[in-house]
Amino acid sequence: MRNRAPFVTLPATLLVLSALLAAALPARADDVRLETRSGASSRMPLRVTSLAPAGDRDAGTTAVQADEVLAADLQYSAAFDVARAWVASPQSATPIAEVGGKWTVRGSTVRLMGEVREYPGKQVILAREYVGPAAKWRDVVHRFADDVVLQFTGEPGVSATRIAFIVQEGRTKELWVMDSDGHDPRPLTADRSVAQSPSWSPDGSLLLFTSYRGGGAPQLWVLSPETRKPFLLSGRQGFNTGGMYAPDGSGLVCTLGMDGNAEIYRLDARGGSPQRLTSHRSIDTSPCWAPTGREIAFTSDRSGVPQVHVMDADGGNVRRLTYDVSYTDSPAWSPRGDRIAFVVRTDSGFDLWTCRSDGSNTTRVVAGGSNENPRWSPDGRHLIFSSDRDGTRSLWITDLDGAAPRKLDTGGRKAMSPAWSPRMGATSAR
Amino acid sequence: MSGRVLVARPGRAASLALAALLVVLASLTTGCYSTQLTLLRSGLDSLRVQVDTLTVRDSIAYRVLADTRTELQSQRDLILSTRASSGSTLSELFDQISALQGKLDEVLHRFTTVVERSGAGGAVSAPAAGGTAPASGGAIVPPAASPVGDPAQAYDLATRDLTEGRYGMALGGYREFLRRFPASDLADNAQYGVGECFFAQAVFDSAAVEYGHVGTQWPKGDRAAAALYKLALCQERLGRTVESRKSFEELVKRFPGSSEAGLAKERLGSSRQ
Repeated sequence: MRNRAPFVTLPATLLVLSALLAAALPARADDVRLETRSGASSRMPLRVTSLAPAGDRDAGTTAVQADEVLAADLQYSAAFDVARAWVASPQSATPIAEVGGKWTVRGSTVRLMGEVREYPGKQVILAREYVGPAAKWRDVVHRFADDVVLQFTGEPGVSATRIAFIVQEGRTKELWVMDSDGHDPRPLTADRSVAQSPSWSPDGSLLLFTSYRGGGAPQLWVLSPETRKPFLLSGRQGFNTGGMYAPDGSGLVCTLGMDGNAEIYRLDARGGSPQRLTSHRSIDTSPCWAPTGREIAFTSDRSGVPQVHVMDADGGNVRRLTYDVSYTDSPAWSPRGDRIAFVVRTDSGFDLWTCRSDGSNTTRVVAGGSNENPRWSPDGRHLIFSSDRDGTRSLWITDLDGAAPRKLDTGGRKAMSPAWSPRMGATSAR
Repeated sequence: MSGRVLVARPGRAASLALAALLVVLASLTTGCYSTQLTLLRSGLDSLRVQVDTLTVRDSIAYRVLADTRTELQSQRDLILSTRASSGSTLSELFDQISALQGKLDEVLHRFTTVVERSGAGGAVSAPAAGGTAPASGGAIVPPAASPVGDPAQAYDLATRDLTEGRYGMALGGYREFLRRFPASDLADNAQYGVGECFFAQAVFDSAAVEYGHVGTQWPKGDRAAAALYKLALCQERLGRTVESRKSFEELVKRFPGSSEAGLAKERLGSSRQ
């Protein structure tokens, strides 16, 4: 009898083929096994052409900006190798398709008639109209970009998502949010206190975070990014930290110190009915749900040094995740369920690693500087993390395909502890 | 003339007698006072001695008391120090046991990996499928083998299905594993996995049956405590509270050192309230 057996690698399946199959099947298909690996893919060459402006006189101006936003969205999706038609550079490979369309601005409304044509035949693969307020024209472009990704991978992109994060100014840390491409960073709290560890509700309407705003001990608070008014969720004696909503939104897990030791508890969605999930004299922290809601990953020092462990969602059946690396922390379970990201301590800080959900196939994905707080994008293709790799603590994204991580522009602010929102609403047209 | 003489004679004698008496009395009275004073002085001296004695004794007693108090304090400190030291030592021992347990797990894991690698022909390190990620952490991946003949691979495949939510496929995988490899050391894990497939889909009656098999077929397996805990949870969710309570109590009794026992105690405690 043993805890775990080494995992033998399955033959890799082509991402495109599997993704197209996924598109044709229910999300929890029970009759076909698909190999949709987080992040590991080869990029498809894609050509983006300029959007043709129409309507008001200033349509041309925003059309040029929309071109860039569209190209960047598609490039950041990690599904495509994008060539911009308005940039004179040799195409590295024959594109599989061309993306473009018509950009019309009339009054306060913007209308994008997006088109995808196969290449070189130019046959239309996708033609869809997107309408929105001119003030939010970027959202219109994001929706089209996400549909292009859906068209080729079977899963929508994540352009129309947001990222919550913490900004440190002096001794205070406030909760901020921005678009997933780093646009429009804005504060959500102004408590002159310390906020930590934001986490989104499954529908993206609420942000759970830890804050000292209520006094001397950390408490769990929740706020809507729209109203920005925080509500206390758990202010029990001792510390209340590291909350994360269950995938079905029925409750949350967090670390409470009300019994004198750091233990993981499950609370209902209102913060009540605490149910203890760990019972060990060691310190148990950083709980993180599996996307199925059946298991929880967490950090415990029960084996001597902090290590990521996994347990069943009701507690019990605790097993250590990895044996190949020492001192691991901050687990984050991929939305696809296949991999778990975590940090491994090094001489200079932390590196980012991932492994399969059974602990096998441990792989270092980001090194250099100190890299912390990994969180997955909703499509499982990207990891966002905080790093001081360029000297300042800021937010970075890795596409897990060997390419260098890219930095998100947070206006030079000291940014950390990111949390990627789920997809907000539909990506359909109009 | 003789009459006056007679009268005068007794008066003089009386006066003389009175004087003598006075002299005697005076002399007697003076001696008595002296004695009384002596006695009084003696009493005072005695009292003073007693007071002095008491004072001395009191000071001795005070000193003894102070010494005793100091001694008690030092004894108390010693006891506290001993207790703290014992607690600290115990705590260190617990920590060391935990660390050793972790190390043992690591060694066992590596041993298992080596055994399976050598059993599979000793081939080393197939690259991760689609593994374009940089700088691998050195995980040694066993070579690909046919799921048909490799129990570990068949088990892992079913486990992956379970973890990623493909419960039907996971159930089939675990059932097939148990049919083909009933004597494998992963068989109890697979049986537990069967229970998990039902539990995840809220089919608690079936899950209870499958968890029960873990306890009866592998009563000392490493999934026995977890399976008993899950069995109790199934019974609780099915409304069989008496059975559930018995299962929790059995868990605490049979596996007192398990983390599940701690959780069971919590459940039992909360059900009493």
